Amino acid sequence: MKHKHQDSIIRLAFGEHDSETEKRLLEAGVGDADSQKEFELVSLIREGLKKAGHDTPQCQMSIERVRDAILNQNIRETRNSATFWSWASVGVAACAFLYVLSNNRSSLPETRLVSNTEKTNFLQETPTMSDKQPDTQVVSAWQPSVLSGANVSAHKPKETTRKVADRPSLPAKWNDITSSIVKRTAETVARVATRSDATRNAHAVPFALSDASASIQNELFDSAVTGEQGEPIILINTDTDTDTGAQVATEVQSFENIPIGG
Amino acid sequence: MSPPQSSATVASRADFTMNLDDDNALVERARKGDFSAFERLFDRHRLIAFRFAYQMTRRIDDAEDLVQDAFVRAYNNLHRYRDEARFTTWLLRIISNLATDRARMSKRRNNLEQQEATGALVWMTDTSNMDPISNLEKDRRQIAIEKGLAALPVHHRTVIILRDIEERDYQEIAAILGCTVGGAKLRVLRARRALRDRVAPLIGDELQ
Repeated sequence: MKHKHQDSIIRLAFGEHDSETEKRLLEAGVGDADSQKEFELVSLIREGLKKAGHDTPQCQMSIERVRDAILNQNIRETRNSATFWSWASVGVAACAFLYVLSNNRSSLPETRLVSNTEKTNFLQETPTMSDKQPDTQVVSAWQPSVLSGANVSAHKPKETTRKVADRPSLPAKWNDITSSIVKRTAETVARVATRSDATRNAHAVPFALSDASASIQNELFDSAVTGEQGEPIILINTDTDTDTGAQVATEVQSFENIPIGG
Repeated sequence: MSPPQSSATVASRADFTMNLDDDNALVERARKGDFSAFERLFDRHRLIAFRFAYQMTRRIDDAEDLVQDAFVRAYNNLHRYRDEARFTTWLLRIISNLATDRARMSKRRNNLEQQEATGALVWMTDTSNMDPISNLEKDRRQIAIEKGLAALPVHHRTVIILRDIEERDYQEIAAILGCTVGGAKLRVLRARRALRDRVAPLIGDELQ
C-alpha cells in the first residue's frame, strides 16, 4: 500500500479529513479489502490511545515539594559557588607554584639542564685531565709510524694540529701551548727517527719520547711562570706589612733571578 | 454587618479577581517575588502537567520528578515567559524538553529503546514487571498499543500524546514544539505511522 493512501486512511480513522472528503471516502467504502483492514486497524489504535489517557493515576504532588526543590536548588547553587571558589584558589596556588618552580629551574646551574651531547661538548671544551687524553693517544699512535720510517713528520703533526684546532672554544693560549708542544715533540721524534737505522729504532723511540716529555715540561713551566706577555708578576712574601698587616707583595716584570722551589 | 454592595461593584471586583487569577497576572506577581502567586499557578496546572508527564514516562515517580523539575525551571525562568503564549503551553513545552533530554541522556533508556526498535517482540511477551491482576483486566490489544507507544522514540511519543491522548489542537502543539502548524501535522502523521507499524503485527491478526 502506498504511503499516500495509507496516510489518507490514517487521517480518516482519526477524523482529520474535512467533512466532504470523509463523507466521500466512507461512501466509497474506503477502498479494497486491504484498505478496509487498514482502516479498522488504525481505528483500533485510536480507541486504544483514548483509553490510555484514562488510566492516569492520581497526582499526589504538593507545592511543598516544589518549594523544597527550589530552596534546595538555591542551597546547591551556594554550595556550587563555594566549591568553585575553593577550586579556583587551589588552581591559583598551583599556578603560582609552577611559576616559582620554573623560575628556580631557570636559575639552576647550566649543567642540570644540558643534554648528553651538550655535556660531552662541554667536557671536550674544558681543559681537564680527560681533555689531554687525545694528545696522549696521538703520541702513542706515532710509535708504529716511527718504527716504519721517516715520513711520519710529514703527516702526523698536521693531523694532530687539525684535531686540536677543531675544538671550538678552547682558550687561545691553551691552543697555542698545545700546538707548540705537539709540534716540538713531533720534530724531536722525527729527528731521532731519521738519525736511527732500523735496528736502533727500538731504543731510539724511548729517548725521543723522553726528550719530548722534557720539552713539554719546559713549555708548561714557561707558560705558567711567564703568563701573558707584558703582564707583571706578583710575588707574595711571608713577611707582613706593618701598616696593613697583610703579606708583602712585590711586582716584577721578569721571572729571571727568582728562585723557585721549596 | 457589611454595607450593601451594588451589582457594578461586585462585577468590577469579580473582574479584578479574575484578572488577579489570570495566568499572566499570576506570573507577573510571581516575578515580583510573590510566591503565593506561583503556588496558585502550580495548583492550577499541576494536573495537566502530571498527566502529560505520566504519559511520557509511564511511571509515577518519574512523572512527579519531571513535573517538579518543570516547575522549578519555570520558576527560575519566569522572566523569560512571554504573555503571548499560554502558561500551559509554556509549561508543557518545558516538560517536553525535559522528557526529551532525559530520554537522550539516559543510557539505560536508550538501550531499551534500541532493543525495542530492532523489532524484537520480547517486550510484548515479557509482562513480568506488571501486576497480574492488571494484566487480566486489560485486554491484550490495549497492552500492545500502550507498550508500542512507550517503545516509540520520544519525539514520536510526544506528538501522539499531545494530539491523540491530550487531544490538543495543532496550533497549540505547534506552539509547544516550536514549529509551524503544518510541521506539527506532519509530525503527528509520521508518529501515527510509526505506531501503526509497531502495533500492526501484534493486533492485526485479530482483524482477520
